Amino acid sequence: MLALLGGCKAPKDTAANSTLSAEELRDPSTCAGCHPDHYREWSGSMHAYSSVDPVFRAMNQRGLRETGGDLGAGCVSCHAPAALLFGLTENGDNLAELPGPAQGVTCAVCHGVVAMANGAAPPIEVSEDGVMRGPIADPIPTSAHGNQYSELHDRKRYASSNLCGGCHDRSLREWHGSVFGYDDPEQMLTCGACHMDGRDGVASSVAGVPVRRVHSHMNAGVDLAYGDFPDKEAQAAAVAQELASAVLTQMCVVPEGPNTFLSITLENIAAGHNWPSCSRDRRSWVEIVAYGKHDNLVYESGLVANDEPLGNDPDLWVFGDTLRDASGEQVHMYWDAVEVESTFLPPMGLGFESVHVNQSRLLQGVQAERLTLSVKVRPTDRATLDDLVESGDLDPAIRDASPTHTLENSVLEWRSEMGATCLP
Amino acid sequence: MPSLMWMIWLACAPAPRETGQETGPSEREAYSIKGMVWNGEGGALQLRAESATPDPPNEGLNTWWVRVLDADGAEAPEPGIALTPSMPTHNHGTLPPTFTGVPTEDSLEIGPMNLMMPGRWEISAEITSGQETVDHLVFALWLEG
Repeated sequence: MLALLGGCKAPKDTAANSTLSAEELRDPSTCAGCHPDHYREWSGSMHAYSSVDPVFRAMNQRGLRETGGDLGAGCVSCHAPAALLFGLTENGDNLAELPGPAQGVTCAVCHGVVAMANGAAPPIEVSEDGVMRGPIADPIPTSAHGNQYSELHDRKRYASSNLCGGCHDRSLREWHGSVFGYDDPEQMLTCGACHMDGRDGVASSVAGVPVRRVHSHMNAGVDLAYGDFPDKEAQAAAVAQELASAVLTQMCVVPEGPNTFLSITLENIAAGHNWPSCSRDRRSWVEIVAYGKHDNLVYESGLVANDEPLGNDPDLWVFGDTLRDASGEQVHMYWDAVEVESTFLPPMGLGFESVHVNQSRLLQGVQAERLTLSVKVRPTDRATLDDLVESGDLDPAIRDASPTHTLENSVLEWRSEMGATCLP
Repeated sequence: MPSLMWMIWLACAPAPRETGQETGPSEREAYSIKGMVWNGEGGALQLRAESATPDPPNEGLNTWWVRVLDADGAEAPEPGIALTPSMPTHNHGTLPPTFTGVPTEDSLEIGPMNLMMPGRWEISAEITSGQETVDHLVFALWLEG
């Protein structure tokens, strides 16, 4: 710690004389000495969690077993790049035995990237030359490590999305086709622009460091940690805020005698990629619930308890990937799949083309007094978790703790006294 | 020569940001809104920002406290405001789409509004005084990433 504080207080030299060894720079807790806010934010993030996540470990373990090891570094490439890069694992079968600094996507991994290495595992070229790369064009020299501006780390630069997209490749492809991925300063918003909120602050606790724009390392998206993990409440709040305004919902309700006509429009207004994106195990759906005169349930679609899978509701409007094997059967493990069907809400396109999707339905025999609509999302489909529990790879307690998020601003409520109308 | 200097100054002077004009799309600088006054397009009412958190506005949750003034800058009776943020360069707004001012002791509280992305936001405001007087204004904000 004294060495770290000494590093903070003696901003003189560059990489050649950096106080911290490569081994020390591999350990994120080393960074906490001078970058306490960044470290705290990262510690609760999914980047810190990616290789300790029990669902990932269960799936990787099963994948290695069922493919006879052919899965190789396919998963750890992005879930445990530190362990892979530093020669501590080959396929993740020993992750439980590795120390904390080897887990997750660490400071040294991201800030050591000098170039992309598409097709490699991990898909980045990381240097351990004692230089930390970042978005600051005029960094204050420190003897702790060298520092250098890098476009790949500057979330105001198009290239920075490529760094994220090394692992988040699917979201990157979707972003490329959206208005947010158009390389124009009025329109472009990189991955970091939305997932790493900016604020005025200091980049380190080095004396004399100026206040500038720094950004959050929480990287909130959809996922949350299971069990004890740092900063859980802050992460949950950030995820809820990220999701709250993602999908615009509109609902027109027309009572028609003994029936109710319903028209629903959805639009992905805030995600610069598809909704949902990233993992093949995401599930998002529309929950519609109609109540009768005594507030009794008269219709539901997508009304699913947190401990239930989505089931076979024919009315269910669901978004996500369906994996099928060679015989056409639905499967949950991607190494079993030969075919993928995807349903999603696309992001705003380059030409501002309409991206709303609509579905109408006549609820026969449903005389609704009250009708509610909301959009839900599960980071991991319950059926996938059930499958992992059945194979003995996942603790049922983890499955039962899996969250279902309601997108706060997607919630609409119609009441019969409103008559035939559209909301909002 | 002084007149030439004057002309050059006029040509180069930055345009004022107040008075309900849109901040131009070329303006890419965040600014504090505390104390800003925007004139309604109809000339009947003005909007004054008393305070904001955060200020300058930032991406994420923003809450503002505003007053509605009459054309002379005096407190307008029975003030009201409905405010709709949008990002014209992305062709979307936020959710909920519109925020109504809630009276507090000495101002109208608006928000929290989720201005979820950095970049240029256009704020459209419908301001009222009682049932009779209605005015409208639009101003722009640049949210630093």
